[in-house]
Amino acid sequence: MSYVSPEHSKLLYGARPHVVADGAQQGVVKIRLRDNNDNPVAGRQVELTADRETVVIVQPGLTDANGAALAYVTSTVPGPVNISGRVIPVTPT
Amino acid sequence: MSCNQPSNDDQIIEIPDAINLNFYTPQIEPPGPQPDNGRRVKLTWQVSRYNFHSVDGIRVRITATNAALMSDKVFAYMMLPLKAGADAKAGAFDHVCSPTDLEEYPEDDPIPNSRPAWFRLNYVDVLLRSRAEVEAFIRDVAEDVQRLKNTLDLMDDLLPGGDMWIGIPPEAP
Repeated sequence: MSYVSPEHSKLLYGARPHVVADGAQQGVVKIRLRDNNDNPVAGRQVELTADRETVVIVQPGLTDANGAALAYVTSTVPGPVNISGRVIPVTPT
Repeated sequence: MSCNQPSNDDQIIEIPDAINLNFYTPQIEPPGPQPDNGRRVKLTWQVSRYNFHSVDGIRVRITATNAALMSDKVFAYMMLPLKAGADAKAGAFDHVCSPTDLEEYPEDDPIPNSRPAWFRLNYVDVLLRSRAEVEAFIRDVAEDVQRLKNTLDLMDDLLPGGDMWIGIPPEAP
């Protein structure tokens, strides 16, 4: 059981925001999940989406004990890309 | 988890702030490996928080040291009035020097009464507004200094001499 606060959770640059559009160099997106008390939320899956179809996103794993996870984005087409994220529901076991 | 926070495990939660990545195609092919001619300079940068009248900023200082076969004073400054019409002036960073700038601009202080009053220092100290600006600034300065070093390397290997006639050459005896 966990509570994710949208207000305290963020997508961050894991590295620089400028990436060579060669399909090899990766833009790194860091996901940081927090609850209302700004405590890390572990074990949640975040799904990232881009506003351009030419982008390849390696989706992050579950957030770790620090509430963090990394995703990797590549593209062969130059131009800006907006990356947004959503926390997906926990599947009942 | 705090007890006053109900679980939202079963909900889709949108993270409000999207981030923007900028994919680009380099306009200039990266230079191939060059033989080491000993020319080098070391760039060191320091980043600190800055607050002025409740406005947050980031202060970046890049220092060039340990230069060999080139000057470490590669940052061009111009003396500018602190206010319009004021006598008091201060140096303002303008650009990374070209090889010509290295020859023409004096170190540390401008030539008295010269206009424009250019001079060179081995550091640049700027205030920026965001981490993205800081990263872009450091990258741009490093690229410009790399370009300066490459140009100086090219100038070491000038074209060989030659001759040609303009007009009809005299006939051979």
